[in-house]
Amino acid sequence: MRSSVIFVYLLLSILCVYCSQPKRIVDQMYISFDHARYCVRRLNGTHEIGCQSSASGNSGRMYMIDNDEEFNSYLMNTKLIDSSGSFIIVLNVNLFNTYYVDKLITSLSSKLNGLLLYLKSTSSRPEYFSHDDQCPNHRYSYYLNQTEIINWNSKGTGLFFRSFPFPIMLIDEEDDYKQLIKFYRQFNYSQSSSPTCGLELKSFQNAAHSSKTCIRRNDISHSLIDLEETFCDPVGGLNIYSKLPQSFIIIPKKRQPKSVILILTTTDSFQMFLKIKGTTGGAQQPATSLITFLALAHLIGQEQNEFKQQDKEIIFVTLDGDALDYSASFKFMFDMINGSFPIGNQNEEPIKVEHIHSIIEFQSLSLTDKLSLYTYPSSLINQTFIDTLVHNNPMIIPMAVDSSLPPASSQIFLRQTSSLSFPAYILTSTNQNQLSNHYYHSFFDDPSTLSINISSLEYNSTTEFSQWIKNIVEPFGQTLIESFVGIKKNITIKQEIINNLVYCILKNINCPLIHNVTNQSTGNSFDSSNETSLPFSINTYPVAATPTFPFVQNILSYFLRDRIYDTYNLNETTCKQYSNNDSFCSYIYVGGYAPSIMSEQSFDGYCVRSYIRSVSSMSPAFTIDNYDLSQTTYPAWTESRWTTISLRLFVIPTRKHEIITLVIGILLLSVSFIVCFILRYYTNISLLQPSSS
Amino acid sequence: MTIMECAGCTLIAYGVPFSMFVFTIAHHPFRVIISMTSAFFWLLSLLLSSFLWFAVVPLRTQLAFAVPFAVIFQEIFRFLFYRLIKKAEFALQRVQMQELTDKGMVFDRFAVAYASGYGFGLISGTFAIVNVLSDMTGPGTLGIFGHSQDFFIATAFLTLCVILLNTFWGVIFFTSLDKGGIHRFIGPGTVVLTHMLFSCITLVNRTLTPMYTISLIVGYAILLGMIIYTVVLRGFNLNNIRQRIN
Repeated sequence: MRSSVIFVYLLLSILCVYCSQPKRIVDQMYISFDHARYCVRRLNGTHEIGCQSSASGNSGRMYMIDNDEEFNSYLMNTKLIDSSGSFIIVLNVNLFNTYYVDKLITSLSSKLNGLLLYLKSTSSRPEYFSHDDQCPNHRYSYYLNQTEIINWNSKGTGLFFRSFPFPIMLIDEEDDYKQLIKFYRQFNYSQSSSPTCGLELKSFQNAAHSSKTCIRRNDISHSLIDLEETFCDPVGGLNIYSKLPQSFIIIPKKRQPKSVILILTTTDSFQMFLKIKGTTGGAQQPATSLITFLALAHLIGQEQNEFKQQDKEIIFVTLDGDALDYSASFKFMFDMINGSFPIGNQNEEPIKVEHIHSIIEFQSLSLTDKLSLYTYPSSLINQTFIDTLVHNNPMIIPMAVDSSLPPASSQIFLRQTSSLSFPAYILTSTNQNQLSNHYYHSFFDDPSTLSINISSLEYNSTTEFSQWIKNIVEPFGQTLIESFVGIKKNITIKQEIINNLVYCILKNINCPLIHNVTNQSTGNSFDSSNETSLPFSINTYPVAATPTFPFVQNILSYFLRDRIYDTYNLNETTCKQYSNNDSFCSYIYVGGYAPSIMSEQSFDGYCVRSYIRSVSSMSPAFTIDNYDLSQTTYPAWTESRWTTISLRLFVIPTRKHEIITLVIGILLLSVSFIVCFILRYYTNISLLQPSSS
Repeated sequence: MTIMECAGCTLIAYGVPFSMFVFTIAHHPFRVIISMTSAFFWLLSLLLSSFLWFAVVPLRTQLAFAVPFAVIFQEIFRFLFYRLIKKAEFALQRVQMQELTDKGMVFDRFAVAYASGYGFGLISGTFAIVNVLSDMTGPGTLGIFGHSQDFFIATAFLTLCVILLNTFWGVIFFTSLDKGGIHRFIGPGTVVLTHMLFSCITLVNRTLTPMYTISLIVGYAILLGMIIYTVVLRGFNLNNIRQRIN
């Protein structure tokens, strides 16, 4: 007995060498990719677009296709295609267009269980990558009933608006690509029956069929189960507007016709492949336009004493939701026609269509030498305004009268007023009816397309881009003063302000600028988005915790603030008292943004008096009673909800192995059953005899 | 589809015990109760082992420390169960034994030992394999990190071995203690030693490319040994066996 004990201890000590951490088997079976981009499902009034996987994930044998030759040889390799029941095709991102995708779908039909795109490295990105339509937003454009279609985005594949029955994901990180190719070469190179690599894509979307069906399903409550399940959310964010807080038309005073100028830009974009905590793209559209817009707002705020001397109001409006069928513009016009613009104070005289003088829009701007100015209709435009604009900024080229408008929110403003009320001026970067943006509505639209090296960008770096913005905004502000105030004045904006805006919007939204223009609690809410750029994606209602809206609200209202308050040394309580007496403006106590303050004295804190309003930009389709969502009067986009998204790599067992295991199991069961049966009936062993003890 | 593999492994691990259940235990309510109670005792031993593992914080990652203690605890509880059965038998004897014997309800010691061993084995095997079976239901199998594909079949066969071994260990343990004399030490001693040997051999399977054959051969060799020992203990010789077959 003692020797056995010694033997056991010896064994233990040897075995201790082999000990490792006990883990679940699952960890040894699957490699998951947590940084993959995924495609989700969206619905409009009648259709669904996007991708869908089964609830437990779509799995299949992995096959990698890197270029055209490999693609053709794969489709001709019928033996390989027949060898497996389902495939996940791993496709080079350069091959992601309608030709290859359609060919895969027709050749593989139900065997195509998913698509995984990969980007080899950041330097090998395709030259054009846009999956919006060739004529973006053509479903609700101004030219709906006209036959002329201009393909503003001629390299667009339109794949975003198609519905795929399988999931599509994209890996854009180099480490993920290296891991994938390593295992692929290890296992799948030999096409024999040795175990091969497989992938599982899981991106189950809750919504189906159309917005009408989905919204109806949202409202179904199962009386036994109290929880309401929401399958989709309507697309919408906030339309924000602000102006100089100087003159207010209080009832019964009447507003003069043609006394309001609207300056428009958008704050949203979409991309086919989303990522949690990933870049959303949107650097050229809409960030460039947004930066120009905010810089112009600062210029107007700077020169507010000049603008006080005339009676026209300039209202700065940001629209959120126009990337999908101009939902936000429809809502804005709907509010205006129904007398709820501006929202807020009942005593303020509403602004209606007849009060609008003109609309100016910044849309799809890119870092180009020349800018195009589109104007419509020729009967209402002010030619002197255009001439002054071109004279002040030779970069701007006016387009021929009544030429077709590019995709822009102004199209809806004109459509809803039948182009009879006010003219529209659209400043954009197009060249011969082509948008200059190669990555229109795609996540590749990042600061590198604006010649900005984002890793070395500092809070106050002067880049070619920020200088370009300055060269556009200053002449524009000059033109506005010349046209509306009537004086020629050389106005400048500090380069620092534009540099700060570029840094905050394109690199790190949690920047000193936003902390200087907000009060303590609002400023602290940006800490959670540290080191992320301003997200430009589809927002849904109820509005998620996106930092875009507080950012735009606070900066826009600060830039257009009443500057007389910069000279007052007030404390927080006095500021609050002011807000109790004034129901039109908002008063907040902030630290103050130094480059914007003109007075010589500086204080610890400033009371900021500003005019800011935010309205939900959800399409009127969702707010009108008894509106049938399948009607096409207003767009009705919704985004599906989803829970887990996962991408896993593993080894698929060979058919032979599986069958052998099953057969052995069945054999063991049946043989043991038969043996016991024989032993019971042909022998006298007491154990096997049935009795009741 | 590894559902096939999962079904196959389940059948391998539980096929033989299922047949045993159907033909030896299912028709006997007393044996069913003994099996379930025995399984409960095994769970208690596992609880104690896990307390020990939890308490010794620095050695939590070293499975080789926890295994021998788990074996010792299991055997202690097997002994405790034996004492419980003894008390029950004593109590039953004092109550109308004649009535029960007339009805055919005999306190068959061998059957009780067998049922208790079976219960122990069943729950022990379940704990060994059920996690592995649930992980098998996904679309993949082992191999991406270089592990052998035979892991699942080997685990299933080892589980089968564990269940059968526990059954025979139960019989040997109880019968030896009943016999008295020198058998009171040899029987339990053999059980503890072979159990320890088997459990420690399975630790070999935790390397990256293990040789499953070692643990499988050792396990089934021990099983064969235990079967022979049981037969010898029960006093069977060639004549007896011939009698039983007729």
